[in-house]
Order: sequence, then structure tokens, then C-alpha cells
Amino acid sequence: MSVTAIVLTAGEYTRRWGDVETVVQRQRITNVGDQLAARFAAIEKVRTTHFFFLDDDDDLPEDHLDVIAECLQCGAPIVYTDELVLTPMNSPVGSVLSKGPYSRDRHYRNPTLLHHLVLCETRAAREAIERLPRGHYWPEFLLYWDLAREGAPYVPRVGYVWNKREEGLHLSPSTIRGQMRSTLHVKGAYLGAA
Amino acid sequence: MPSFSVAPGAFPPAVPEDFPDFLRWQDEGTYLDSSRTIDTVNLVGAGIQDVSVDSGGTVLTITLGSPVSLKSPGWMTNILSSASTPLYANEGYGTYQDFISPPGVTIQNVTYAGIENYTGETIVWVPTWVPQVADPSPTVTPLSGGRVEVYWDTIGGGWPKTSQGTLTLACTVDGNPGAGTIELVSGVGGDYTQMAWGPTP
Repeated sequence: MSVTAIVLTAGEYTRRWGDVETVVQRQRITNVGDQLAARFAAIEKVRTTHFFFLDDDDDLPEDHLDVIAECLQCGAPIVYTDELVLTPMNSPVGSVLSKGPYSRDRHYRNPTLLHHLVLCETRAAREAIERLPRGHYWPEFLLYWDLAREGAPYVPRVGYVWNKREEGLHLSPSTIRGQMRSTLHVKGAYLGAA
Repeated sequence: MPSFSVAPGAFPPAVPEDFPDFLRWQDEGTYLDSSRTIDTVNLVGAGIQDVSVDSGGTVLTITLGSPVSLKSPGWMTNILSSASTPLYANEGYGTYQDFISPPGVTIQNVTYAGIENYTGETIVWVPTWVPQVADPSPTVTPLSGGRVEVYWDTIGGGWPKTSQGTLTLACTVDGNPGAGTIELVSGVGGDYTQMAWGPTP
């Protein structure tokens, strides 16, 4: 399996996920601009044909290799799955966040439609980030939107376990504003509106 | 026997040897260069409004003026209270429901900003609204004391929500641009919160 998990972390990361390789980008992230720079830099280190982003405090389901294999069979630049969301309130059962089929409109209105797990083709991603802006943008949305120009296959299986906490980058004002800034960039660059 | 003649050609004009070897610089009549070695002029400081060189590359124009305002706009420390303190670095997040108290009864969907260290200057607020899709702009109303009120109307019915997009607030302070701008975004939502504010990066 030629797949890499990209993990951003400020400290050590020693977990391994079967046949999935790991690129650990050790960097302290203080805002969405740092996050974008770190994610794009990590993509350059990937040696496999495909990769996905994995947060250092999240997990993959037991059958993740099978789910990833099904994603690979789609043969697309980008493929996405459902995710299991675990919070202090609903753990250990959690709730499955079912994403549903892809459309440009659904993706634009909800940038987190493609969120966890999203399998990307490395070569296509490297070409995409050449076109993408740098700065205070939410990198996932910019990258996924570009890779999904021709659509994105949806695998309705749980490919990711999000250990959602009461604090974290998902609640950072910088991240939230970066998400909106990303959608507005998309609106101008891809949808023909200023 | 062949003859010949010599006709004067168009020679370049002679360059006077006494001009311009250099320009001498004075500060209020006192020469700054005693040895006439200066070949570079470095302009620094907030009092310089503009520096430009003409198209011929021979005229340097330096426009001086009073120092520009370094005061910044800022969201209030309690963004829901006009009585709190504006700080440029203030940032935060919440849901639109946070702006309604109690839910569905009293609409308090108003946010406030002001000027750091305000001392009576004339403030002109310049809002820019960029909708995510096509929602209308929130209403921006100047208040006394250099403050501004931003009213986020409820739209769409159903679960309370408001216009989705980015509001950027710039300002002038006594006619000079404020230092920096601030922004408030609304509506990304999903697994994330709906409202976030802070200085424009």
C-alpha cells in the first residue's frame, strides 16, 4: 500500500498504522497560516503515491487499511470517507458523521464536507499547491477544492476517528476566519466572483 | 591634385567640470556632510508621507507631513458590550446562538468595536462586506466615543442564523488611516463554530 499519513505535531509522534507510512512534520502551530505552511511542506516529503492528513491526537478505525484500499480503487485524485466523532459527552460510542455524495455546491457551503479521512494523490496535490495562495487560509479546503475539480468519489465508510476536544485548532478564531477566507478565495478564483 | 575639406560635426556638449559632482545636504542650514562623501540618502520615519522619483530618473520628490495616526481599531473585550474596552488584538469565537439571550426571546445580535486609546479623535468607519454566497451585509452604525455597532440580522428562518461572509472594518482617525483592520466572519459552521473575530492578519 503506497499511502502516507501526514502528522503535524509539536512533540514526538511514534504511532504507526500498519502498512501506512508516516511523515511527521514537527512544528508548533499557532495559527492557520502556520498550519498551511506546515501541511504544504509535509506534502513535499511524501514518498508514496497517496497521502492523507492525520491529527496527532486522532485515531484510525481498526479496518482502516481496508477502507483506504477501497479509496485507492476509486482511482481519483481525491476520495473521502465518513468519520466517527468522539467527544467527552458521547465517548466511547461516538457518532458517525455521514458526509454524503459530493457536489460543488455542498462543498462550497460546507468546507468540512471533505474533512476526515481524505485520501489525496500526491502528484496531483503537488501540482495543486503550486496554484494555491499562501498565508492565512485553511489548507484543507483550498487543496481539496482544487483536487475535486472533476468531483470526488465518496466511500461511505468510517475512515477516521476524530477525538474532538473542548479546545483545539478547530476552535481557533484564526482557523475559523481562515476557513472563510478560503471560501472567498475559491469564490474569486474558481467561481468567477470577486 | 585632389582637394579635401573638414566640416564640423555634432559633438556632444562639453560637460562642465564643476557640476554636479554631488549635492550637499543641509539640516536647517547646517551642512550634514563635512567631507562631501555622501552618495546615498536614506529616508526613515512616519513623518514621511511619500517618496518618488520622476520618469526621467532625475527628480526626487519627498513629501513630508504630520505623523500618521498609529491608533488601531479593535473589537471590544466583550464583543457584545459597547461599554467594554477595544483592543486590536482581541479575538474570539462563538455561535450565533451566543448572541441571543435568552434563546428566541431577546435578540441581542449586536457586536461592537472601537479605537484603542481613544481621546476624542474624529473616527470614520469603513466597512467592507464580502458574502460567502449572497447574504446581505450586517448593519454598521457609528456611535459616540469612536465606537461602532454592528447589527447581525437573523435571516433564513428556522434555527437562528445570520448573514454568512466576512465583515472587515477599517477606519480613519482624524483623516489618517487607522493602523490595521479588524474582521468578523460568520457562517462557516459545520463541525466548527459559526462566528470568529480578530485583527486581519
